Amino acid sequence: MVTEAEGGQIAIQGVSRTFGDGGAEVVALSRVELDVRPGEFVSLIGPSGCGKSTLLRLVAGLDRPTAGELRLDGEPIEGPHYSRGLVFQDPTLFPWKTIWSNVATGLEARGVLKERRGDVDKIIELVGLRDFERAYPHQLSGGMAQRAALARALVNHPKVLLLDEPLGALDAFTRMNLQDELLRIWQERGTTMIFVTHDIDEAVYLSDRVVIMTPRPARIKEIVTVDLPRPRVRNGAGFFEYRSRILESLQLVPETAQPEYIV
Amino acid sequence: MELTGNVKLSADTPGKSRPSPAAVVVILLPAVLLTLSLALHELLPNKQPVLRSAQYGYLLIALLIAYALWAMAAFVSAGAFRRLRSQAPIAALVILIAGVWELLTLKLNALPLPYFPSPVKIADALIDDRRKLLVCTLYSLRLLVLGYLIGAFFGLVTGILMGWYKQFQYWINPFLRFVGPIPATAWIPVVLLVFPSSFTASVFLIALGTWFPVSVMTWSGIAGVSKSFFEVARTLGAGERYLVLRVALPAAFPLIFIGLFMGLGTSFVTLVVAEMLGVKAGLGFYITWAQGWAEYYKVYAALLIMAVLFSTVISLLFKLRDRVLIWQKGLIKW
Repeated sequence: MVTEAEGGQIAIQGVSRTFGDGGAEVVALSRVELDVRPGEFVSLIGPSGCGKSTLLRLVAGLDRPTAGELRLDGEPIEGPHYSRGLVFQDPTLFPWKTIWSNVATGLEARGVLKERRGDVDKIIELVGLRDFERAYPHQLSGGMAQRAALARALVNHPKVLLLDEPLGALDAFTRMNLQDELLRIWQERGTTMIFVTHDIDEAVYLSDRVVIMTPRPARIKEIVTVDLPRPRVRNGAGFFEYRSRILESLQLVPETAQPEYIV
Repeated sequence: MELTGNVKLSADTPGKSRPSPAAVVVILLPAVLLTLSLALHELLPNKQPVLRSAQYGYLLIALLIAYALWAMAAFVSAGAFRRLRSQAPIAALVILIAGVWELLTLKLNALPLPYFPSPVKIADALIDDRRKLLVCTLYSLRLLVLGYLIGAFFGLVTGILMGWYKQFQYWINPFLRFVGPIPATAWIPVVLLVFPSSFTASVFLIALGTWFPVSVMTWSGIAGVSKSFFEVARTLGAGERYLVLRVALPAAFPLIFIGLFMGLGTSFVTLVVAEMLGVKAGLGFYITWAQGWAEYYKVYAALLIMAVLFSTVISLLFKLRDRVLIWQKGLIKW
């Protein structure tokens, strides 16, 4: 495995986030502790409202914690920075820019596009959008748009890539396809990945560790280390074991049910 | 079977194979009407006084030749044929109206003078008064361009500042809401007093009339830009300057252009009224002046020039919009 990005260690220490002031306070996150190793692929999974997106926004620097601290390679996170790339469920491509210009945004915004135009071409090649460079976002399918969004986040060579249900709006085939692409890119670049999803299979297929979160109080319930060799087999016995374990942890299995029936 | 197949084929490729009889009639119609107009113009005696009757005849001949050339081009290219086929009916109607108009005025004297002059008489004004009309057109154009550009610029700046900075919006919004809706022309008495010349006063008025809609639309455009665009841009390393000029502004362009179109409409009104009331030059002034002498054919000549001028300016803005908003193609049509 070639590690391009140096570092990329995320430390989340006693982080809480409360929304609303006065009477109706909503605790979105409560005393979250998590360490993500450089180059690790970590998934956050849990029912909606469990604060996984909030946690991701805190790491991105788009939001500040009410208590606690977040660090990237020991440096406190105080705002958004291009070393922490972000991809939403909605590709959020800039509709007025071609795919090439969309991907080039990060370099342009930082004023380094002139010297690094080649990087844009390389990334576009990497995500397989070579033939669509000059297309506008509305001309792309959902899967291709998400590839472009991924390329746009990668062009800055971020140490950490934050993905907020990036494949959630795609059909099953496109989705599995992009999961493999994501793994390929991850292995090629060694970027630390924090991946929010509500799809258990996806989490098991992709991650080194799966962080299970619960709502009310919104906190980390359990961290499952997925000790399966890659490439993983989606219908292997080990895969199902992890799947059941996570299901149980999320309390999506009735107490009386036998694991065999679930599989 | 064979026959319908053939018919279909000829309908699909009209340029190459023989066009249908109906298409031939439609295409010949403008030429026939032009010939009839020419005959009417040359053969019937004039019942109203005009200076130059021959020139109008030359114009009709020139149009006839131009149309013949177009028709010949249509034989060669399928695209030209399609355009000719679709434009011929409306061209025929315009020629018919001009012909009937000449018949009712110059040839039959059925409409009262000087209020309803013949097209030949209007051509008289265009030829005789061409120097004066040219100067007036240039004066109007100068005023329009200057006032509009200044107004649009300040409108953009105001709108961006209001859309981006809450503080700016707090202080400016009441004035914009309160003063903005007053038609710029209503300020004429005050503005003529305050400004050193009627020219600067008019530039100010046109700028004011343009500024208001451009400000409002730019503001609401920028205020309405999806928050996630800014969040994505910030995680990509964008600073405030980039967020305003490279994210907010292009995202707001569709609404900004609506403001620019509204402002352009207002600027035409303001221009003409200002020229009629204060400025001693321009097409508006020319119209009032010609009316004073009861030379209505000159009024119509000036109106004709105005129509050409303003519609050209609007087309230019449309062209600019299509260029800037090329990414919207197929997304929104308005």
